[in-house]
Amino acid sequence: MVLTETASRAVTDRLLGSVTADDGVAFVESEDYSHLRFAANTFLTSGRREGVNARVTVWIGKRRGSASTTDLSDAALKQAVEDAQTFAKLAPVDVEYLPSLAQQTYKPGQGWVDATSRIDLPDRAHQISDAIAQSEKGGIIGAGFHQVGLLARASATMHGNFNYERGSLVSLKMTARTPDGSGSGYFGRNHFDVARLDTARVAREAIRRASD
Amino acid sequence: MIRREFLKVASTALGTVGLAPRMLEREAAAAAEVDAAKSGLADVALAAAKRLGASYADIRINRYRSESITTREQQVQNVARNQDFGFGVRVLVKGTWGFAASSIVTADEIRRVTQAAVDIARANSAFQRKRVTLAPVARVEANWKSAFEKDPFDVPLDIKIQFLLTLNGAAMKTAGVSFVNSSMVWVNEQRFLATSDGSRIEQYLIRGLPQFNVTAVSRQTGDFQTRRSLGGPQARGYEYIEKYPWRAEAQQAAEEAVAKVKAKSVEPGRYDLVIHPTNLWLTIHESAGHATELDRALWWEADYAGTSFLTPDKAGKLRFGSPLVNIVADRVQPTALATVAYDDDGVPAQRWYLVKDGVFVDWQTTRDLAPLIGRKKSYGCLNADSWRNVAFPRMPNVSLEPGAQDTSLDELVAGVEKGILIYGDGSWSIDQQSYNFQFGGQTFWEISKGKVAGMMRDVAYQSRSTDFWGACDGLGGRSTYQLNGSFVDGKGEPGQVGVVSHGCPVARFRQINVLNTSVSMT
Repeated sequence: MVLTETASRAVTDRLLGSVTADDGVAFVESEDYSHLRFAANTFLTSGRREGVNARVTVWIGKRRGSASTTDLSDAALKQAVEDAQTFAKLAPVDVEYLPSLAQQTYKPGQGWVDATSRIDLPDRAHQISDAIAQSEKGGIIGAGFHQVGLLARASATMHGNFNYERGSLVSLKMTARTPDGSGSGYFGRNHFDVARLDTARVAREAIRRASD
Repeated sequence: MIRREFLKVASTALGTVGLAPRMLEREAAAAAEVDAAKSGLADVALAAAKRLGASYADIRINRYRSESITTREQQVQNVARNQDFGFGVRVLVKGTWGFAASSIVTADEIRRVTQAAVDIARANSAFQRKRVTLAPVARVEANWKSAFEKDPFDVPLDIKIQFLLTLNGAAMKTAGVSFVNSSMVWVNEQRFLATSDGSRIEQYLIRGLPQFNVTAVSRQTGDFQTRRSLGGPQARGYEYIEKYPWRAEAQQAAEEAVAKVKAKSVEPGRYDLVIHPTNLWLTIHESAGHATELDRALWWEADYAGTSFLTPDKAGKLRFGSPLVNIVADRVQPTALATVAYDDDGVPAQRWYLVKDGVFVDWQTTRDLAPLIGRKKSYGCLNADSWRNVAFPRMPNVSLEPGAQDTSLDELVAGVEKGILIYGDGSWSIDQQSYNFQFGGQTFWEISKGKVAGMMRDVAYQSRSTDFWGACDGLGGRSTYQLNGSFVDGKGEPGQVGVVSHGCPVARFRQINVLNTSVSMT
């Protein structure tokens, strides 16, 4: 799950609402990640994971403490704040401490493309199968890794700043080897827009380098 | 049974001071709530997978707790505790794997995620070249707890911090020592596995990595040398802190770090090496452990970790080392990091030979690997480092057996005219086939005419796996055997971190190439 800006702000608000320390910053990160791995010209593992992580950093008299949790319940977030404040009391003085940021103005991020967040599973399988087919045709043994990562990050400070950014990334890398092991080629590309990732080219270049 | 143990530990902690009691109380309450429902939640996943057409399915509902404390001289640099909880569902559809995972552990989410895993498998199955088949495994219901005596999460933080600061103080007393860093990391894995074969397995694992590093700086030359702790990570509880002579070793390390600054730089050439278990474990790991991973031999890791010089046709034929060399794989040694009762396939932990009387004889396998070489059973090497990652082949403990006679380190040294005695692991490098390698160390001692002479420095030994093990002509006995290992063994895509131990005696190797690693700036 990739949290929206509104949902992310709700988490950071709840975290900062529990802070009694002198200063604090709340973070929330959410991801939706999937992969398809292949080797020896066949599919190996393929999976997807979704998760969220909330973290709070506090300062008590320039002493810093942090704690994190994957549980977004009120009780868990309050406990994370309490833990961070306990750690801060144990920490040495952070001589490089600077107060957390006041409200800033950010330009909207450009690294998210909806199409990348809606990868079509049969289409992905077809593209990787084509890469394997290129290997088979060239008498090459191919191994590689296709992944799609969707990530949203938000942070908020006790001095009134809030920032939210999300990004998408799709990549394919491939290692091609001749069966006797005497030739090897590698090629990889990534982009935030799935339409800009040329999987056929990745396979073609890796195979060419192994064959040359 | 495991849950009762956990609650007992948590409740006895309530009377102590510091951070641990409150956190344990919270964690225990949360865990107890989910534990009561785990079996029912597993049924949801397995029934959904079956309804959706999976020929096999499993679900892991796992909780991971970790704590790390880092200090330097008399300051606490960082304290962190993390808890990570979630589940992963793995399905096999038309001979193709699918996996999905989430941190939201509810019945509705498990149904949704199981559907996602099946969708992935089904989409890929249309293009799958080689269908997966699984070696059979018996159904089992089990609870198991690793071999620890004192749960480190039950020990108050201030006691741990005081231990580290005292350790630092002991090292800093030595004249010439400039810095000391020390830390301890504790991990608790609470694993639950349910499979469509009918298995239900709960495992509770504890492991720890206490360590320190002493630095001595020469103000005259600007040179500095370090000496890291030799006691490695173990699947032990806080008793590891209390029973291992950490303070004495810190004092020894301080003296050795200072001595290293003035030590003689090694003359490159061929030397007989007597290698202590604190160094040899890493050589075993890289040259024998990774080389005997069947997935590497089948090129499954060709895009990342590498392949192996041991190809499937070599099993039972290739001379790996001298006849003295017997290398065993196991997941059963108490206090070893890869020890479990059952792997993530539900296969029971075992012990088997990889190298017998110097001949390479067998592989590390999983249920989907074993049939590929005609085996009818798995050795139980499937493992995931988290609920969020798909389980895949990981190294068991891989260890060199001690010699039949109880030969001592001194007796091995006595048989060396010109050589080097090596303690502790240092820098390392090995090629992608686990064949050509180079290893450093922590301390090096010149051996002259059968006696240990002064300290040396800048030593690294270089060889090929079969040449090196073929040069082994002496093994220490059982009394020299030690376990060491890695907390951070990387492999796989997406990358996962494995933990693994390697036991061995002190061992002697003839005429190994030694390099001088000092850097000349001219």
